[in-house]
Amino acid sequence: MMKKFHNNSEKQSYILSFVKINIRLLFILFWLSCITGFILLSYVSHYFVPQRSLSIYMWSDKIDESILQKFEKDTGIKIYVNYYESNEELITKFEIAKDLNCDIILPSEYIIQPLIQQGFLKKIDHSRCDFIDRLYPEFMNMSFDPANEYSLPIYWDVLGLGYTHSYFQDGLPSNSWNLIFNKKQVPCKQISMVDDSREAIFLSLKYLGWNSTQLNTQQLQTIEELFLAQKSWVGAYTDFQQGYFLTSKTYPLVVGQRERIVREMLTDNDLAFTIPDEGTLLLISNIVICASSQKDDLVYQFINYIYNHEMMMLSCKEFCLLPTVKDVLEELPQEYIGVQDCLPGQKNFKKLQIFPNVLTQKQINDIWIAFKSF
Amino acid sequence: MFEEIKKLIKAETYFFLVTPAFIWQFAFLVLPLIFVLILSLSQGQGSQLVQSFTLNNFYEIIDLSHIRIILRSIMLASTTAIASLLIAYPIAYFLALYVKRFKFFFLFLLSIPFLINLLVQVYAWFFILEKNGVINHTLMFLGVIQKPLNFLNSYFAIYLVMFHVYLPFMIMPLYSSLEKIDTKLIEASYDLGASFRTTFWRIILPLSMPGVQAGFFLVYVVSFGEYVIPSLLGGMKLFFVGTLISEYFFIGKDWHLGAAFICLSCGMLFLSALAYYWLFNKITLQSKIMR
Repeated sequence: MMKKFHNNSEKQSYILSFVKINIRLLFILFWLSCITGFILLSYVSHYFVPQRSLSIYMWSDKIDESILQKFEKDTGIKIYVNYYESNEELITKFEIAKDLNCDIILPSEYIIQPLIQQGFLKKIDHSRCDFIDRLYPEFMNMSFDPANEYSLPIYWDVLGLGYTHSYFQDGLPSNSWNLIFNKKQVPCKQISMVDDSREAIFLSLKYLGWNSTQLNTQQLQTIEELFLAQKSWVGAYTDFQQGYFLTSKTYPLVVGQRERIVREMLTDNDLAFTIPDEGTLLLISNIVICASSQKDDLVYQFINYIYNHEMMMLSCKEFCLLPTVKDVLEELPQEYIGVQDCLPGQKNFKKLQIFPNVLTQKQINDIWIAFKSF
Repeated sequence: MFEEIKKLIKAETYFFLVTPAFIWQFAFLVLPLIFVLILSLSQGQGSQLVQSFTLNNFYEIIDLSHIRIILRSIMLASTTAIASLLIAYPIAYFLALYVKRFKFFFLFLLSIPFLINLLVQVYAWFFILEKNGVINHTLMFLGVIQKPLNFLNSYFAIYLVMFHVYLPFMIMPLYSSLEKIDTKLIEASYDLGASFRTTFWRIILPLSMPGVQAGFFLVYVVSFGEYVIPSLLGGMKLFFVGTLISEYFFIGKDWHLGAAFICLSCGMLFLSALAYYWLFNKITLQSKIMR
């Protein structure tokens, strides 16, 4: 239906308002396309990635940068590294993006199962890995990936107690988790505790002497109360600052991962590390291949390169890591290891345990939020 | 007609210029907020929506521990904003009404914190507050203490650094509103026999109230959700709103509860801001009727 106009000025004003709307629409479209183009730039950049390249997701202190540079030089394969700060952050990114556009990841043991279940990982062809027979059998066929179909262990570590000789001149009063959980036996005014809810719960189980595979609601309540009581002598919860707290004499006793404390021990003779007699948590870093990776040849070339004796020794010395490869661990100087009698085959190794995923993330969260809200 | 269209295009230049800002705000602020609201009213895994409308997340989130965390953040934001206001006002007053020479130099000094990364500022405080830090050394040198004290990982450290970081955010709006005050009004007040106290309450404060409110709410709202300072200097002993949101989204991976918590904390922030707004209005009114 054509619109009828009574006079010329009415027609003109109609045309002008029509033009005005169109101009505005044109402006909006122009800016929308500019902003969309700007956002899409990051996606377009994927198409300019060289064919002979690998994208790796890992913690910042697992593979020395010089190794990656050497690998690029030796093979001509370009490496793009992305870092993440926690396993949870990694899996969240996976869940949101569905395809992280990466080839290799170095996740911790407890996150492997969820990654497999959600189909994010590709099976590993063991015949293309030339280092399998060099791996300690103690780290193979673990419950989270029984036949190592999707993951291969690369480094391992333990949680323990770091302390200063200057404060504990006669050594620690006992070698037990009592020192951090039992008020009567806490040897100093304040300590530093791990800030990882999962790890903290495991340590509380060790202290309480409970089985880590079966936990009921009553036991969870007891753990929450234990954390709440412990809070009065915990100065800080941290996953990364234990070394600093020891060297700066902020706290004379800290709970933390061996590698972070041993790194400080290399330059500070006042520090020491011990694993309590009740045993502790075994942490295993693994190498896995993303399901979306289409560069198998390059991936296996990289994996074999990383497990090479010389390269692994370099990373282990740089970051005080414990390798899962026999020949490297056997040759690694004691100062980089920092623990006694806990290596595979030694008497205390059996006291190390991984923490199976018996608790839901919600149960873990509820405990952590409840006591930290006070 | 052609001329008319040409004029029209020229008149629409302002529309051309403001459109990207509106699109940007809508796409990256309004839409995500709508998404958070939808997430809070639904259930599912991660960011997926399984059940369309439910209030279960709110029923779960409204409990004592969550309310306590929000109140703690309100307390932190209030203390930071009030302390900043009390310290910033004399500084801004002095700069705006008394300093004549080197004014820009002083303003430059105030803007230096904006040029330094927040993390660098926070880590610098470690060296001041730690056991071997400047404060302990000074106190021991002066004989005030015999043994070094632990200032790190405490409320004191959080409040001190919050105050330090947010002080410039308070000074700037205060300075700009105080500078606009016509000094003749102040002189007239003194000429008519008013004391400094009366002049301040009846002339200066009401006229600087827009700056007070702008600075206060700028500091209050931003410090309510502060994540870095309580995490690094508080020793992670206590959850604040920022840390709990991060816990829900990245560690707990429960986006729906996290979104419900964001809505709840935003609601409480809004209510507390309204209360402060009412208080400011009351102070302004009071100062106008004061004799």
